[in-house]
Amino acid sequence: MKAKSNIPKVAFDLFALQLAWSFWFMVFVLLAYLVMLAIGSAHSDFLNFAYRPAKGYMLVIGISSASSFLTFYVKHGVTRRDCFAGSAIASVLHAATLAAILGIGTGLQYLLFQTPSQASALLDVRESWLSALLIFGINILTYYIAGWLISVGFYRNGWPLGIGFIALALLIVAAANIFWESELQGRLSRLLPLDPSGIPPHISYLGTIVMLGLALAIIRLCTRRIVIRMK
Amino acid sequence: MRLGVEVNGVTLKHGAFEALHNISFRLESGKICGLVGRNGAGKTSLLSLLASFREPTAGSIRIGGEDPFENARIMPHVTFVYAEDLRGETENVQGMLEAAKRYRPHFDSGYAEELAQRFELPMNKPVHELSRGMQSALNVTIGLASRSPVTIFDEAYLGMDAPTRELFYRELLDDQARHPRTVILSTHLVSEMDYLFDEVIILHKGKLVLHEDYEDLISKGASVTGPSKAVDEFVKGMKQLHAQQLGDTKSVVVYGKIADETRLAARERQLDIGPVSLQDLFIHLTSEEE
Repeated sequence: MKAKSNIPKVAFDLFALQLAWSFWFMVFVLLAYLVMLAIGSAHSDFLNFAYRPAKGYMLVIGISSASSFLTFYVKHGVTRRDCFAGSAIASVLHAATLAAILGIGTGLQYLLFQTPSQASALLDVRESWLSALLIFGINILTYYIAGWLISVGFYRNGWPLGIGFIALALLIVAAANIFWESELQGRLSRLLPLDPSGIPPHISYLGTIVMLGLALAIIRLCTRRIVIRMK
Repeated sequence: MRLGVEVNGVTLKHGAFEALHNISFRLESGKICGLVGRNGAGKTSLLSLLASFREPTAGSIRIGGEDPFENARIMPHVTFVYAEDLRGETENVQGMLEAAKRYRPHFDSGYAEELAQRFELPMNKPVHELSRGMQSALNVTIGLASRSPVTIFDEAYLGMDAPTRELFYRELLDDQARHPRTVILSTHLVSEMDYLFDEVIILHKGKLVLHEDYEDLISKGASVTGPSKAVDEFVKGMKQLHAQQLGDTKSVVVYGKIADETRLAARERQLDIGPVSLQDLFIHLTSEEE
């Protein structure tokens, strides 16, 4: 009997499902942005406007979806390994697609309309499209994986050990903020013996990739032989 | 495709509590096995091990000769239907059937639709809006239509009304005749479902009380009724499960093969030997254990 891998199927199904949720997310963010433009309160382009809501959204879907998918797939005879690998691939594809769609929208905005141009240095599409979208994508992916980690922690351990995974997720988010000079930068700069703004981009990329790899390794270790909850 | 099940010395512990103790049995493919036990006997724990929902603390499980846990060759061929809480499921019935089709190698969509019609399942209705009985009918539909070589129903009938349960039993027997597989039915409704069983496993407090062919098991149980003294003399040396007395008339449930000559001797002493249902045997065998 030859084993057939379910990884491509799981990856495709989860990607399609998450993209369907993201469609509604993008519609709501766009509506909010249009309202802000109409009342003259929008000071940045669409990509920069969507950055914070996208991180929150990815954290929430990471928390809410990861553990329910595990029960669903194992119940349907998919191994934990295939479920993990499919979910990880889907999360990368989803973050990249979300970044690309929002990037295209922002491109059209610059082409067709007069655009408020206040942007963070790292998400300035006029400087480098590729870099802005990569940074956007990698950051929202970090939030998704942080949510996934919390979800797995509670699924496996319940209270109070699950709380430890919230702390771990916070560490990941804080590290991402150090790497990418985000909103915590000012405060962290005062707390830490380093200046985040001095970190070269390639170190930030490398650091984030290693950190996400470690987070995924922890998720895999926690779910390798996990007991499936019968609800 | 046919897969047998072999459980060898399986023990499952939750901390200090032993949910299953040294369980061993073997199930041949093509048969329906009734798994019977009182609340907390360890039925769901045992079935969750077969479905690879968890690993045993000790012992081994083989399905088709292989360890099923995280085994991509085995897991897609084992379907575990249990009384699942689907209150949060926003997918509709059609979507649930399509999802099962994607991951179950032997899933028959035509049969699934036929069953959905028979159970009167509304295909476009979100699952969380279905009644408990309808949700159970959906689970059973997926379980039957998956045609998995190992199919497990753990009290899958919860919330179903009597006609729907009857429909489930009939479909199970008909489809088992067309596509024989290893079916395990865990139930409390012993008297209602016993005619479905080819063999029976009784669990009690995490231990295997018996595993026998249904007909053999039933033939081993007998109630001996007659004058108190004659009954007492007759059942001496037999395994007695239960006794009842009304005036001078006594009835004793015994367990064990009764030879033809012994039956004849009972008739001569004007004792009545009657059959005992699986339900009665189950009640007496598990209460005796206490």
